[in-house]
Amino acid sequence: MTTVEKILGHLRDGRVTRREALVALASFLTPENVGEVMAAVPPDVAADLERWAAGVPVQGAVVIGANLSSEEGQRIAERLQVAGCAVRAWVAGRPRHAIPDGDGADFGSSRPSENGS
Amino acid sequence: LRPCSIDEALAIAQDHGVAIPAYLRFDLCEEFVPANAYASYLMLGSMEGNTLIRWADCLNLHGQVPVHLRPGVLESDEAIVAVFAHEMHEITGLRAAFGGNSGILPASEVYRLISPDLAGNLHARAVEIADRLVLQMRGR
Repeated sequence: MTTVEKILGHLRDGRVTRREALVALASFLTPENVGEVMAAVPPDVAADLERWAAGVPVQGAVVIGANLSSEEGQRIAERLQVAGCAVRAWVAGRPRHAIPDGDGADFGSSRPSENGS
Repeated sequence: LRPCSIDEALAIAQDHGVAIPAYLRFDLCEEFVPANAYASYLMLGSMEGNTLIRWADCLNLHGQVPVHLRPGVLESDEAIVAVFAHEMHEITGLRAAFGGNSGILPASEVYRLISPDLAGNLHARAVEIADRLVLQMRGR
C-alpha cells in the first residue's frame, strides 16, 4: 500500500479528519512527485489540494496541531510551503483541458454534524 | 509487554476516572503524531492566524474528533491514563471554546488554546490533570 492509499484509507476509516488527510498528503508532495500524487487521489481531493496550495501562508502563520512543539511546527510549515509551491507550479503548467470541475470539492461541506453530544 | 487494545485502554482510563465522551475516537495512527509526542489531534498544518476554523473541521466522517496515538502508549496503564486524560480534557475545553463562539474560532485562538509552548492554556491544564492522575495511581 502506498503512502497516498494509506492516508486515504485513514480518512475513509475515520482515523483522521479530511483536513488532516489533506495536510498529510501535502506533506508528502514534492516538485518531483506532485503530478503522480495528484493523479492518484480522487478528483475532489485533488481539487482540495489545489485550493489548499493557493492559500498556504508564506510566513507569519500559526501551525495547528495538538502537542506540536514550535520547532516541529516550523519544520511542518517549511515542508508545506514546498508542497504548496509544487502544487501551484503543477497547476500553472497543466493543460487547461485537464482542469477538474471540482464537483463536491469543498472540504467539509458534507460532513455530518457531531454525534453523541 | 503486551500492548492492550483501544477498548481495553478505554476501560483502564475509565477505571481511573477518565470518562471518554462519544465524540472522541482514539486510534493507533503513529504517522500523525509529531516527534516527541505520545498523541495528537487536529493536525491542520500552517494557517494564517485569522483563518477561521469550524468545529466541524475537527471531526472525522463519523462526527468524532480522531485522536492519534503512538503504539507505546498502550503498553503502560500510566501512559494510557495520562494520555487519554490529557487529550480528553484538552479537547473538551476546545469544544467548549468553539461552542461559545458559534462553532468557529480563528486559527490564532486555537493555537493559543492548545500550543505546548504557551503557559496557562488548555494544554498546560491538561498536563496538570494527567500528572495528578498518575500520582494518584502511584498512591501519592
